[in-house]
Amino acid sequence: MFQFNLSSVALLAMEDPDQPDVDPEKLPGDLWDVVGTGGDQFRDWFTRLCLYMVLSGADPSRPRTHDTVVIGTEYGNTAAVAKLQRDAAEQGRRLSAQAFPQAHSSSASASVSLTLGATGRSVTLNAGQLTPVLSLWQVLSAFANGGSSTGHLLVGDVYSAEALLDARHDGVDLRCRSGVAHGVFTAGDELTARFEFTTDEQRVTDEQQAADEQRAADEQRAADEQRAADEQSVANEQRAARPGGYAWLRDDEDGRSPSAAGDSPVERNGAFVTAEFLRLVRGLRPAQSAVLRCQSGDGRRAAVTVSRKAVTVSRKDDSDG
Amino acid sequence: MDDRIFVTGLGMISPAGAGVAPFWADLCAARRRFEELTPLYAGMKPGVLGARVPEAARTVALERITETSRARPRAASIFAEYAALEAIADAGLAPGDPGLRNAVVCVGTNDGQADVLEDLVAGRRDITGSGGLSSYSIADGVARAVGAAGPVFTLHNTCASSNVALSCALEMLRAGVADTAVVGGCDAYSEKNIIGFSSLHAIGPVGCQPFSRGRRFVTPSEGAGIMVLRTGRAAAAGGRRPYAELLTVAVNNDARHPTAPDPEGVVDCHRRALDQCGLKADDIDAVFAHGTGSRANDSTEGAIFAETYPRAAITAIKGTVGHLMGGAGAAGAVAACLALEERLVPPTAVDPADVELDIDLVTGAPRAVPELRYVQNNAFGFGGYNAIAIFGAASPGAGDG
Repeated sequence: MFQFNLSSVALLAMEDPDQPDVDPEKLPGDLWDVVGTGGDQFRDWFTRLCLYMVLSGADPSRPRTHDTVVIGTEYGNTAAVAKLQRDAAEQGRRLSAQAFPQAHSSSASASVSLTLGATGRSVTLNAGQLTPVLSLWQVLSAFANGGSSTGHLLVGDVYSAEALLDARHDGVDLRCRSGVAHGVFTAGDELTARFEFTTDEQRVTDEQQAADEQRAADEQRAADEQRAADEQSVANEQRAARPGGYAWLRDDEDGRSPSAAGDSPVERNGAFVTAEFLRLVRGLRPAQSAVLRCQSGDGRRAAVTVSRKAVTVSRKDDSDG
Repeated sequence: MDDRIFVTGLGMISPAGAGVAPFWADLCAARRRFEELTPLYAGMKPGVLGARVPEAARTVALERITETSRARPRAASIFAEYAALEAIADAGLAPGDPGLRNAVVCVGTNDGQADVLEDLVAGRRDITGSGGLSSYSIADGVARAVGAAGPVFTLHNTCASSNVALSCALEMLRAGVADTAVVGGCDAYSEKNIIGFSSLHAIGPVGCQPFSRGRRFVTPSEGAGIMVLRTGRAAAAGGRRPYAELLTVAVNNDARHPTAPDPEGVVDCHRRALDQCGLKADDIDAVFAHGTGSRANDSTEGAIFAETYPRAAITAIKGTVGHLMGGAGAAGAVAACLALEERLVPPTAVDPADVELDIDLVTGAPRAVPELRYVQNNAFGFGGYNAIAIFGAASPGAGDG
């Protein structure tokens, strides 16, 4: 169980699904003002978008910090890596030495840490469809173990031609749309996070046991209430049984799921469900919870339930005067 | 929750061959197997040295891995899966063993499935039948090979990747997510790396000579190292006697320069590693240095050793097996555990008369250290990534929970 606060959430989405790379015309007008143009020819769009997200609204005179940076991505800087190879073939010995540092699998996180002056852990993580949950785990674990008090979570992909080929070929038939989500987490106790890692087989066993216990405890509940709750729960479970990520609200007072994620097509890119989930978290009422559940094609699951602390009203003891 | 984490299995594939035994034998003999690499683009200088996993070792690995992986051979997956299977067998576990059922699988890599992407870009291979280029498939393949159904992920932190993977696995085990982790790192020969290092003039016709006055070049290499980590309770439940206890891994970022190490950041990582496990620099008996043989790294690291670790025996295995890139930290970690088991520090393959700084660099023959208790393993990388692991000797009865 982790405790934390969530300061901000943002999403930068590309509008053209299934198109490789990025149409600069559809990017924010202040992109170059924010990320700068020095050395930009060596960056790919994934690095640019990550930089834009963390630098938008940031104080340019900010001091160096021990902030954590976690980037969750399936394809990350693949475009820059492929470009280095092509450039070497075309340019030979004229290849710039500045290209190589931007052509690593972790170039985006290095650029973000360098630009922010963030000396905490800087991690690029790929857990396939489970990337959003495992990336969040890393951010929160850094509070407990890495000495950071602020963590930047960036989740997303910008699909290069090679990444799209791969994504369309691996049997997970999900929409590919480029975009990056950004959340800023701080040390605090407003929210708690509980993680769960299971497979389909385990889920059946564990959830059957949980359901049995729930039924025993709810014997007095009216049949129609129970049926409504079950139907909603089943609907969420059915959605969550398909590959991809799903986010929904859960009311901890009675264990029901009063609202569920929208019916929009499931995206392969974890940026969208991450942003949706973090926005739900931002809007949580006291004692309310939001769930993010991700599932891979082979039945591997990861889920996180974030709850806002209940408001406790303490009664003043008369003897205190 | 179980705070004590033990290393109970090791697996390795490297230019020394398939398996931990040839790796350790080459380290102890300071036997290097560097060879000339083929220039990859017009103008790239000939005669650049590198180290490759021998064809015979690849064949052994291919025969050992799963049929699915064999049908779609990708070098990083071949290396990682072979090393993982060796590690779990060493730990007394078999694929699908109940002890592995919920295991965390975490693999650090810089270049991922580099051969697939490079073949795709060069038009040498179609994506169909390649197995795919997503780096996640490396960790996923390891999980399938060992029969693990817990959290599975790949980490990218350039040449610090493996130690960062160790850090993540350690934290997950301590948080109670699982009681076993199969963790390490790998990288296969990457054209992109050769091109990149060549553009920086960081590779050349002289082999890696860590901490020597004449050092100049990194020697790129390939392979994988995988460890089985278990909580004290799980280790006590059966299997091999632990090699070592993983005490801590410190991770930070310089946030100063894209390629050059920042002494302040590297010093800070050393300090954090010691603080996190309650040790002082004087407690460290041996250090497996990052020791790339580059001017910048070895000056930074060597100055820290000279000033802060005067008592520690220093060794740098890249002079023998080359630089395994994202797998380098794993190679150092496997060697550190073997050193604790054997009470032996392997030598650095350099001329003792050429050692630059006033450090206790082990050269020539392996050094016996009967009282070896604490061994540090350094891994740093481009992008300012620093990660330091500290292992302790597994005391008698270790793993008894």
